[in-house]
Amino acid sequence: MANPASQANDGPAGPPPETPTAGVGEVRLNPAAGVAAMMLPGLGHAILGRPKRGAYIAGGVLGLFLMGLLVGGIDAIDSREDRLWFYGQACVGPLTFAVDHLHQTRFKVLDPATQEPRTAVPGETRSPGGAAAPAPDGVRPPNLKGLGRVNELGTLAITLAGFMNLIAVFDALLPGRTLRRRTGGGAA
Amino acid sequence: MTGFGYRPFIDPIDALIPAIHQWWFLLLPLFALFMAMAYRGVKAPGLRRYWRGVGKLTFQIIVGITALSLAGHLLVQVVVPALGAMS
Repeated sequence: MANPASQANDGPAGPPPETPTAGVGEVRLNPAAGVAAMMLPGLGHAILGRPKRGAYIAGGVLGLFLMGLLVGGIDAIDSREDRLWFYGQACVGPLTFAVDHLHQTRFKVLDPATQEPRTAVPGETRSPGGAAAPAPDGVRPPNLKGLGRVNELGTLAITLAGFMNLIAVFDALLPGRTLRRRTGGGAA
Repeated sequence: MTGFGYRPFIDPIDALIPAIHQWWFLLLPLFALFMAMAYRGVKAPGLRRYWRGVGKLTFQIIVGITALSLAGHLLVQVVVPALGAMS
């Protein structure tokens, strides 16, 4: 049964995107949409035929993500030093893993004493092999370490982006449940 | 390092604006806006009144966080010292 009320505002004309195949009250599982939402914020809803809704979700999640990076710098995503936060941030999808990979492999230096990766301090630079090396005059570290409020806010914003995307992932994964809620046809 | 040495998305923003450590709470409206955008994108019944809903939720988040901070301030600055004085 099509639901004109929920389709009217959600996307272009065409095949009814929110039409459940087995009734409004039934909870359907759409793994493809769930996986797509995990790959890129908003993509799951676009696949469900609701591109406008997907664009709004993407705007919110990626806005938080980019604001976090802008405030905290690339150091706001660090799977080694902020492991627990990273679990939340990872819900944004591959984007988080890409930034973390870049951070670990292109920005961090290997500590000469421990051979562990760490952020270079002022006066250090990154040698071609990745080791910490004294920086010539005027050469800055690959990135600056985020400290205090900016690090907290940057890390928090990206983690919030992950949690918001998690809501969107479940919404894309269980579109029947959402439809039931929107039409007032059941609980929640 | 401040000003021209700042590299967006790589360095923290205090390399450009050192005062952000005192004025960090001014970022709250922007964070609240993006959170509201994502949440209303999922939860709004229809998208016709989407931006109105986003504005309303943004306002509610800001008011809620402000109220929580005021409550925390009162607890730490007034209630706890008063309890300490009583004992």
